[in-house]
Amino acid sequence: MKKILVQISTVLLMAVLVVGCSKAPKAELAAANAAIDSAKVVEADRYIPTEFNALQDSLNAVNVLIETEKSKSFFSRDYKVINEKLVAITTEIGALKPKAEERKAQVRTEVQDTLAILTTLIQEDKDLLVKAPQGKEGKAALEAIQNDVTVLDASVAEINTLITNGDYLTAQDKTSAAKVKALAIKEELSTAISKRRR
Amino acid sequence: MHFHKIRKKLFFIIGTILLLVIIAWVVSLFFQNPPTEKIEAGRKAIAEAIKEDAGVFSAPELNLARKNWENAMTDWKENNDKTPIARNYDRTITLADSAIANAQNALKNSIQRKKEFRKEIESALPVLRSKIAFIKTAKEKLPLNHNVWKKFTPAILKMEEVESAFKRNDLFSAKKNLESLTASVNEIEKQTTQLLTNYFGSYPEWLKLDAEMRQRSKANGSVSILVDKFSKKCIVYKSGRKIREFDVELGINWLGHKIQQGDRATPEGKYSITSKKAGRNTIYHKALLINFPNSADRQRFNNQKANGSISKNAVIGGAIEIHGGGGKGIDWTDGCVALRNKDMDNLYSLCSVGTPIAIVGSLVPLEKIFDLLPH
Repeated sequence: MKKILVQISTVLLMAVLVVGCSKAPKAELAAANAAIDSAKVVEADRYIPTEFNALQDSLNAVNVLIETEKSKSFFSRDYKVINEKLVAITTEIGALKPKAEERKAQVRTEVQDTLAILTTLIQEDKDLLVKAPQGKEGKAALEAIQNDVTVLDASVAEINTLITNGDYLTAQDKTSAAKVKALAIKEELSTAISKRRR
Repeated sequence: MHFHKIRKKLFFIIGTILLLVIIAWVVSLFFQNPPTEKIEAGRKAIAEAIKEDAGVFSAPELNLARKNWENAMTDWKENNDKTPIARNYDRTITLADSAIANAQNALKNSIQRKKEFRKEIESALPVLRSKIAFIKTAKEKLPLNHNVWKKFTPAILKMEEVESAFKRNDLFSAKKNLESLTASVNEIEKQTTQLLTNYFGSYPEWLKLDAEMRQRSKANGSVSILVDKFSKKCIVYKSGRKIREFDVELGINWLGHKIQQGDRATPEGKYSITSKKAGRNTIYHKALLINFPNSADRQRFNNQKANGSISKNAVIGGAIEIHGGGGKGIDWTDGCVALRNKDMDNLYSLCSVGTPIAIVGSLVPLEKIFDLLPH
């Protein structure tokens, strides 16, 4: 009798274990989805799109695996590998977040550095405009340069808006373009001033 | 005996369970297979499309593919929640098929559009560069503060942006800015061409005036002067031959006729020297006063006043001279013609009151000045 009870207990325990193992990994899946959402919050999809898209695709693939297992009869379901994959994906997405933040900060710093140089250059242009020969002969040229400096000021305003909106790559294009012009103005004014001194 | 009964009962239960499992397994053989392959194919097709930047170049098609795939997954999940016998994957498969077709479409479109964008940008950039070079050349030759140039610096900045985006392979941004850049450059080019074409409409008259100046110097064996505004030259004819040529600087708005006082334009037409000034009589070393306005200038002024293109209170102006103080490398006068002082000495000595002088736009035709002029 004792022997039979032990056998029944063993069968029941095994059944519990089998049913336990065959449960879909809801918590792990939720964790992976939450990780993807938090990566989106730091714009990983924008700043490291290749890595982000690859992980998003891996998560989709795991979702397919989960449903494939669910389609099977309950006693043949096995979520062990899926669980491991989900844990690995969640870890990888977690690592993606600081990477995206780092890339974003890097691009932002680059733009802000170039913008700082541009702002200084524009100020230098303005200072040189005051020092430039103000006679009748230079009036038209100075007016033309003043117009260009006004265009550069407008450009800086646009760049700041782009930075505020987080569009650092477009901001970088604009900043580089404006920098070239600001440098050209500086050179033109410096030459005019040095000519007068000679 | 009791033990034997229990064992028999147990074997019966286990046997029944086993039998039920076997029956369930046999029945399951007749169930519809799960749509794993189709769903997987959809996922892979979407991933491929994303890799080819379909999110940027074929977003509507890609979004449709994603939506259909997600709906297929939802349908599959809902079916999986049902008992196996009640599952029907037909809709899941239809949705997955649509997702595959949409994703393949997105991939194809994306590749095609990227190719088209690249080709369009690659062919547009040299044309724009050439147009900008033409405008730059014109800008260097024409008055600095003409309204046409106000849009030029923003266009140059935009051009740099497009090139920068193109270099970092951001075809979408490059293409987006290319449209507004092309419109802006085309507009400036059109205005520049129009400005030049309108101005050079008087070219035959300028040639006639030049011929007249040569002829008059030949007939009298005397000196006559011609100022070519475009090439910024003052030519001295004697006995029908060119004997001197000096560089000149003009009024800030030298392009076109002088219309009224304060427009800082250098007049065009046939004049003569009415007075020679030197010493305390001029602040510009030496000066030759001309008879501006002549009758043609007055007629033009009156016509423009009558048709309202200038103010009724406008004054025609005067005191146009050929004087010294030049050599500044820029057009700076209020409408006079400025020469370097040593050149002015030379010219002054050659001229007398009554010496004829013609001021013309150009002796060189437009086509020769601007070989960049687009056709």
